[in-house]
Amino acid sequence: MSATARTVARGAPWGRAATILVPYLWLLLFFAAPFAIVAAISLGDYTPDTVPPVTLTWSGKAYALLVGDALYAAAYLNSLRIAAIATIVTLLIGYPMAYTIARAPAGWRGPLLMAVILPFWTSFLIRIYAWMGILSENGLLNQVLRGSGLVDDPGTLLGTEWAIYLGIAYAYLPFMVLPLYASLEKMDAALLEAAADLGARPWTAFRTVTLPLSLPGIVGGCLLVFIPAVGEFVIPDLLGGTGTLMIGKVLWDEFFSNGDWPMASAVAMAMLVVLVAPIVLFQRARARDLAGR
Amino acid sequence: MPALIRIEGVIRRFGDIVAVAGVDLDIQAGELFALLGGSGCGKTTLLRLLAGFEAPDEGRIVIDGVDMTGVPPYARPVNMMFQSYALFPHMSVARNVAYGLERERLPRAEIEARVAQVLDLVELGAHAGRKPHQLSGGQRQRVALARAIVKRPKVLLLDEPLAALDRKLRERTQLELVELQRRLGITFVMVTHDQDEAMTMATRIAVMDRGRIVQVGAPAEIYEQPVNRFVADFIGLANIFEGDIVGRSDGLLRIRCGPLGGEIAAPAVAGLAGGAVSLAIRPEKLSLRRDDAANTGGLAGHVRDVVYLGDESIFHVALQTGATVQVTRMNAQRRASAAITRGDAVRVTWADDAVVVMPQ
Amino acid sequence: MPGRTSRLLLAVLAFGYAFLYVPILTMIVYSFNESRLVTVWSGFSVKWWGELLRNEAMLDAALLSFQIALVNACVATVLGTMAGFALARHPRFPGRIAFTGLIAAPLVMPEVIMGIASLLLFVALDQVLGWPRRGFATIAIAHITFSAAYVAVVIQSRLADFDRAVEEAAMDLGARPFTVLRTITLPLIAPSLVAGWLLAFTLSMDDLILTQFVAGAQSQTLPMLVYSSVRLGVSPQINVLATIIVTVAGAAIVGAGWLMNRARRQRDRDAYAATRRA
Repeated sequence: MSATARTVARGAPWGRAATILVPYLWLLLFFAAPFAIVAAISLGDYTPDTVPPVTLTWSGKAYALLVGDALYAAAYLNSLRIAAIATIVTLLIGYPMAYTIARAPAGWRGPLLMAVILPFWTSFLIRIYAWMGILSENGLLNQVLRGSGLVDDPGTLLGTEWAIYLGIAYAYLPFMVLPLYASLEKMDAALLEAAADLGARPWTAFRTVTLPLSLPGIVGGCLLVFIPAVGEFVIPDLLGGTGTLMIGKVLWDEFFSNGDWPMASAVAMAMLVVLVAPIVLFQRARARDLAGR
Repeated sequence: MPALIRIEGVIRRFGDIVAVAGVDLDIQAGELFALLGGSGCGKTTLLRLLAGFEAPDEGRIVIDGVDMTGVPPYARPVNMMFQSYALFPHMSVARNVAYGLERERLPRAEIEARVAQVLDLVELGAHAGRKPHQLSGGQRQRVALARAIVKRPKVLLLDEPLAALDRKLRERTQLELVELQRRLGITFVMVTHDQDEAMTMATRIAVMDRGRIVQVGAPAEIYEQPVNRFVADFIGLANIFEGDIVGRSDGLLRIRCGPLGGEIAAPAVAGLAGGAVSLAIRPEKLSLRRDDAANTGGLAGHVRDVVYLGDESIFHVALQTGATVQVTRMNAQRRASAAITRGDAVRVTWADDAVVVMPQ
Repeated sequence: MPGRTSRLLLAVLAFGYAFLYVPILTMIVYSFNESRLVTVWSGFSVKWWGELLRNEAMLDAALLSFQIALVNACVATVLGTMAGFALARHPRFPGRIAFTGLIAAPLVMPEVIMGIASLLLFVALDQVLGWPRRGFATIAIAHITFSAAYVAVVIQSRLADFDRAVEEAAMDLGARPFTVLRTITLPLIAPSLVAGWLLAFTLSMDDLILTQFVAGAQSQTLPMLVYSSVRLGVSPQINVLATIIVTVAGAAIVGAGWLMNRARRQRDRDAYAATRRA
């Protein structure tokens, strides 16, 4: 493989350089470099009367406020907690689905998987909006609950943390199912037969063979849900109601409502620091997965 | 003594395909039994029926006096060595071997002792901590074997156990497996498509074709007395002709066979008294001589081709009757000065008892 | 697998699909509702369809989103395909680890972070170079940056399964590297290129947060308009819009899948017929 790659590369050195350099420079300029600017702005002072409302200093006032005001710490912890619970909810829904699809007859797997991904191709915003209608006071869910006669006053799910878990699980389900399916599908069916042959009952075989072998899929899926969920804005904003404290919302409000760019930048930098470890883990997992092919 | 394994009228269908089309078979304790056949003959399905991965549509399987109908794989007194080995990639060699014992909830100390013992037996004691991907093909094969025998099953099922090994290693391992089987006293049931492997290893062979067992017997019996054309053709090389029984004398059948130069004699076979039959003559049972004044018997012909195989050569001889036969000769001398070569005029002869008569 | 377990798994699967599709179906149904209250059914009507189609602001926003998505999909497919080749074909080059990080990070990075970072860059560039002004260009650049990463992943995983012997055969027959790329490699990965293009188009059509940061005061894309009207409460017009988006996206995806499937089946049939003849 590498020998071939070298041969091809020798044929077209400029072609090789271009395929690497063009996307590399683009991403450096438009994805990596901005973080340096965010870092610089986060250290500056908020000056509402200038355009833009920032004066570059090295005061670090925003960070002092970030540490000093307990609201921010609470928002970070809350975001991590909500993202973690939502990730587990997504895993609990996604794993049995991925498992069943991977065990379905070969001709069924493509369409079944397609049906999981299909909603992802329609608007994210509109799918969250759909849940507003379903979860509201007189929404479909409560109509069904009342109609069934089981519950007289079901209360309203909209505006609670449960609505956020549900929204995240709904919006991110394909990102959980796809890596899980990939790791479950490539598992050799003979391994489960070997386990049964050696005396393992189905549940034991699942626990000792299937589950550990699907661990890369579990890690990949969970990271794909957890990391963006920590900084999620639309779902807590539309489904969580006014009381919900999540860091993505805090950043949004600092920027759009208060116009405090340094504070918003400091919040973003702090979020980045929290997420660096899981992002590196995610990149490593992806690199390993590709090397394994 | 009742059979250890009794297969009674077993049928297994997959949709329209009948993989196993009615098999009756008894296998005795202590046998090294081979199921031999080409791809798609149903041998692997039969093995999987024994392991419990498939359930028969009809018939039943009894192992050691217990009807296995409805008994799941994890509760059967048999273990299997998979063709792909199916080693658990996330577990070390020792953990792979311990897996089956852990399912029996044996005490930790006993598990460790038995794992160490069986790993020594297959000479992998030094590799207990390695993962399967760190082993060579031959070592993986021995892990798979160790994992299956550590549970001391009544029957060990082997699905093409040596197919993934290269030729040298395969030949050595064949004898090691036979030796191991004698030492452990476990009954082996082995699936193979390789007739040499079956002949070398098995005490008895069942030749399968299209879901049925065609012939069961010891290797020599199957080679020397094939019951039909399929078996004669499948096992070893054979020259096969059509003929008609025209009479009987001195316990020999008289058979008219144009390609062999008219009427020939062959040993009588029970149940065959007249009509059209097939004849088989193994190539090593034909003799080849130069066609000159000293040699006048047999059929005349000329050598069309010689295939040199080292220990022996195969001569393709075009007979004057129009037929072509294969004749094998050992290359006993390193340089035979009188070697027969391509184009030489020859005479082919055989003894009466070299001819096997089979129903058509 | 015992029957009880498999029935349980099928039930979970059915529940999963219901979870995914019931919300979408309710929107479609309520887009034909007479009432202004989207939660109460009061009779069949298409009046909200008419109202949406007369909504100038909505149509303008949809047009802008469509134009941006088109530009984004084309540029992101080129950039992402290059990046996919770099990752799949060049196992060693200086800075490769950082490069894989630059591809992986946009897939998971919370959009609020990317949004503020992109905006601050554009403001800084504007102050130094006088370009780009916030609007079409900034939105398109921001979209290209993160959707190219998605395309790169699609192309990279396709190339990982690619049989390079066919490229070597082409070179052996005298094709120069660029000719190999044009006549062999790109035609073979064409379905993945189409998939990557569609993915980039959808990501752009759909993006709210990043867009909100970099759009500036003059431009309003469809998701921005939807968001501001949804914040004020549920509205029957949004149901109509949702129905249109679901129908168009669903038809495009199912259609593309059907075409690819048909091409594959035709190929399989030809191969079967060819082996039968032989």
